[in-house]
Amino acid sequence: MSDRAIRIVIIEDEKQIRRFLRLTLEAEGMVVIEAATAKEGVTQVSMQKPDLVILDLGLPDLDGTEVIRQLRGWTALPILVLSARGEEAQKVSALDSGADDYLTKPFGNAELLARIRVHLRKRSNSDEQITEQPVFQFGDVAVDLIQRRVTRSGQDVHLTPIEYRLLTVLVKSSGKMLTHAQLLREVWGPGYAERGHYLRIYMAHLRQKLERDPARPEHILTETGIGYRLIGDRPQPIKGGAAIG
Amino acid sequence: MLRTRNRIRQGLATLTGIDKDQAKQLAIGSPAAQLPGASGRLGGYKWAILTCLLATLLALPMRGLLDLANIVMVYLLAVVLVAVRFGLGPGVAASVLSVFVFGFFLVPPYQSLTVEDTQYLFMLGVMFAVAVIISSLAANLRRQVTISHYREQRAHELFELSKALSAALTNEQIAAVASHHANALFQAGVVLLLPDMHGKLQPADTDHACASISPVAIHSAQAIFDSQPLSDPDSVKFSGRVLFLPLRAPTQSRGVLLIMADDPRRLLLPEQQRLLQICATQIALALERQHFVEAAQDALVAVESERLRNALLSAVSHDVRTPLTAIIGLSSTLAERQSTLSGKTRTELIEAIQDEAFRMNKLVTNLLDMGRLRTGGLKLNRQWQMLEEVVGSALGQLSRALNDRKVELALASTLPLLNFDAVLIERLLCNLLDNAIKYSNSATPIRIAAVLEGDEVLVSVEDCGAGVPVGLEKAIFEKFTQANPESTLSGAGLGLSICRAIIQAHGGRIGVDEHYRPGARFWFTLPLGSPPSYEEGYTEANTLNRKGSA
Repeated sequence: MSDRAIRIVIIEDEKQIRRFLRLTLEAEGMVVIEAATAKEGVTQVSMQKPDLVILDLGLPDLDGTEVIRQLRGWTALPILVLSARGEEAQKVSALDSGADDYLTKPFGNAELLARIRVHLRKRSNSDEQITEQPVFQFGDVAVDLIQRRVTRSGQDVHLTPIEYRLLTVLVKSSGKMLTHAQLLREVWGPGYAERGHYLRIYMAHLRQKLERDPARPEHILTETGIGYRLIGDRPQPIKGGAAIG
Repeated sequence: MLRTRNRIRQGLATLTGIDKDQAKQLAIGSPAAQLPGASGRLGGYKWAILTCLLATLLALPMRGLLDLANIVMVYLLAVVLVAVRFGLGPGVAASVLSVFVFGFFLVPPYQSLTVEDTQYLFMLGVMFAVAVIISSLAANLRRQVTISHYREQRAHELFELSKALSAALTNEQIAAVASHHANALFQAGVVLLLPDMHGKLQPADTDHACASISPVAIHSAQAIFDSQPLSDPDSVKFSGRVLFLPLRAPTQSRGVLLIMADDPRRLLLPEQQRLLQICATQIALALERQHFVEAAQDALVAVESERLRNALLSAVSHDVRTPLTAIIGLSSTLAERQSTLSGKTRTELIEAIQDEAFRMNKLVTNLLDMGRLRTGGLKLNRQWQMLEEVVGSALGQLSRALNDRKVELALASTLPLLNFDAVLIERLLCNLLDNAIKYSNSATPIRIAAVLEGDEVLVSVEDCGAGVPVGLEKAIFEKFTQANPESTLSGAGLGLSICRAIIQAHGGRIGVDEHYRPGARFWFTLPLGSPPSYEEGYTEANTLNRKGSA
């Protein structure tokens, strides 16, 4: 983790929402830079070099997706979008254009902070090699990516190659939102965009094998109409070669 | 020449007892009564010659046996037959030929033609007259039959036109009917011009008609349309080869019918004119009826919209004000008495504000859904997916409201993939669960079940609460109806009507079990369909690159 305070640029035209975001984030010791229009926002991002961008999709001067495209042209910063309820298509389009995650208005500060933390953590870990990556844990499941071993309460869990691949993709982006399209592309390949049902079936398999109650999952979460997200526990450091139960 | 001919025809017709006016009708108009069968006029003459020869053959054996006066009858018969069957020309030819043949073969001296006796001129004259009269009468008869047939056909066509017009539901259909039937009636191309909302005439059937009308024609039609009842209503305007027929209905002029005939003069005949007027009136009436049907429908829609709008406004007014009042009250208390309140009270107030805010959010969500359902129609984003997944996400959405309540899940393990819009079905489940939570005690469990039934999946949400009042099982799915209208539980009564709209869009049904006690059991069905196979997914899985980047 970097030593300096985390800088976040907020691009949001609603004054009250900006105030709420500022208060919440500053309470966590983060530095907040506000922008009320897309143009101002993009300028601030380029000047201030923040660690994360919060972008509202309903900006007056430029479409949110367009802003994402502009930013993605020259930065790989995590971008969190804010969008209204019921605008699934808009969210999917934003995510596919390069946004990393989204929050649906209205949202509470717990949700906000949880999302931000996930993306800040990812950012700082991205440079580390996989050999230093510890075993990934969620619930009573441990996923060891190096040994390609998945255990649940200490017992080995058998996964088919596709299931394992799917789990891997989820683990690597843990906490992050993954759209159906992204998952299909990563696991099956570029030509499978229309085979959404494959994805559903395999996600169901994973839930059955790894969740305590597959019908009410705690870790492999569905974001209706958009995609999936794996919520894990904090990663544990490796101890020897054994998987952690 | 034609006129004398007509006069003769007229005279002869009156001979048979037809009165003078009808006789005149017979003489003009109507397509010429073609002689059936005679391949050109020549055929008739050939037959005339043949018949005379036949008559001669018949008469020759009787030469010397019978008196000449009787033998002549054979020839008379021949002339009559030829005149009836083949018309005037051959009839006259037959009579002339008969006289000569008679004189040659049957009058002494035989085999010679000597016009000794002027009697034979008389015979020629009589036969000639007979030929003329008989052939004319026969021709008249034929023409009469043809005319009757023609008239009957026209009457039938008009009947068909009326029938078709009464069944037409839109202006386009009226135009199609008019075009088709007028075509059959008048053997002419027909275009219906209807006024648009600015009163400018436009072709009703824009496919093929457009190309054939010149702008000049449309301009003339517009002029006729605009010059209202002052002009003679029975006049039909005529320009070039186009006939303009104004369509005047009792209240106002409804359009103009353009008739493009190859022989427009035929259409100017009185009988055709009458026909045109009848058609025009029928079409105008149909258009008028259509106009008023649309007006009535618009009025109905307007009334219904107004009613809904009012209901919506009053629902919003009440259901938004209630939480807002609470929020304003609670927050002002917090603001004023921050220092004096205990920490516990402060927390309570803050949590209450949050609850009210969430409640308002739910209401706004429902209102938005309702709005979207009504205005945009419902665009489903259907995908093949597992029911279990959407049940899980609905429960996740309501985790705050569920708050440790026991939820039993009884989803059949053999459920196949179902084709539905996840966001909408999640919405539906959330609404049903919300009701279950609202109307039952927090200590009682809620159960969600799904079973296969025939070609549907039956999903049910059960609670052990107050249940639905008897008799209201259907009514609660109407907008703005609540089980207990006086109750303090808010929600504007939109939830279930939204559920119904969602399920109907999916081709399913929704209802509440009347016999379920205690509590309420809401159920809905989704059609099964045939899910895509995913066996390929399995095989491909095994052939995928196993290296997989770590």
